[in-house]
Amino acid sequence: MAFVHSLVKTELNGKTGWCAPVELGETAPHYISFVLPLDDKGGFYRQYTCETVTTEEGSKRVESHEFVRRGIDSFVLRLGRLELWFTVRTVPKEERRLPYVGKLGHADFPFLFAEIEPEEPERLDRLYDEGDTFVIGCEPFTHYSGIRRLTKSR
Amino acid sequence: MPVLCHGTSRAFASAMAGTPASGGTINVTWGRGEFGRGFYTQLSSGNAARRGQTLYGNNSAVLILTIDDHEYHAMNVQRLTLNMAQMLNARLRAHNAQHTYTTTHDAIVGPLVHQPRTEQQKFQTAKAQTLLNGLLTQRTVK
Repeated sequence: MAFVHSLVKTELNGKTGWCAPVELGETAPHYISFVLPLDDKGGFYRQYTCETVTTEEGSKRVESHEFVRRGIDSFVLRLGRLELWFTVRTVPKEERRLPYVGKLGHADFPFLFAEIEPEEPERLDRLYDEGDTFVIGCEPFTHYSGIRRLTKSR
Repeated sequence: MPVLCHGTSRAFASAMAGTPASGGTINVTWGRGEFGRGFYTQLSSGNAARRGQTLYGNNSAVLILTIDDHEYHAMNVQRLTLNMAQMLNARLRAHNAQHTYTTTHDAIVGPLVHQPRTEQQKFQTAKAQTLLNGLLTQRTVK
């Protein structure tokens, strides 16, 4: 199943698209976008995998959840009783569907991506402040190939 | 009191937090971003945690700064609207000045250009650095 991803919009070699923050290092922006890969017809899948990270006693636990489409441009992530809603971000037409332009590997990266955003970002903050949990989408160090080589070379 | 977050590696966060006795080691000349050179924080803890994780994986952490209210509001702060933030960011990108641009203000505060509902702060003077590293700022690593 395709994943939700946390990527940043960038321009590499004259091409605008998405890359992983780790590819930019500390120069990465302070807002990382949530993006969804599209199917080969440019549409959304009915469902994605979305991971959360919970910090506990010095270690981190990654859990997978269903991220389900509701209607035309809305998605819901259910974490127990908590529902977090996301919508497709309104952007200029030429930026609606952009490719991954970085150098890491993932099964979703050959496809175009569309950006989504949380309807209530303060609820994601509360989840972290009170529950030590944040939404990552796809944990890059677990799922992206080439990332260890990239970080070792720094 | 303002509570500000910075997502980075656990090693960087711990080093910057320092100890109450020795003070912190935040350096306002190292960072860069949408408002130019400086040390960046934001109000969104979730964003900061996610930034750290995407950069450092399980070695990430969030540096949380709780700053004395009076001292924070006594700083000389330039406040930007979304339009001002967008224009400044565009200008800095066009001139490749994101790692050099500063003003005489202690801090520049405005929305994240790509997530305007979240406020970011860029600290950029020696006075601001002294406040962030001193006893009137509580520095914790989460």
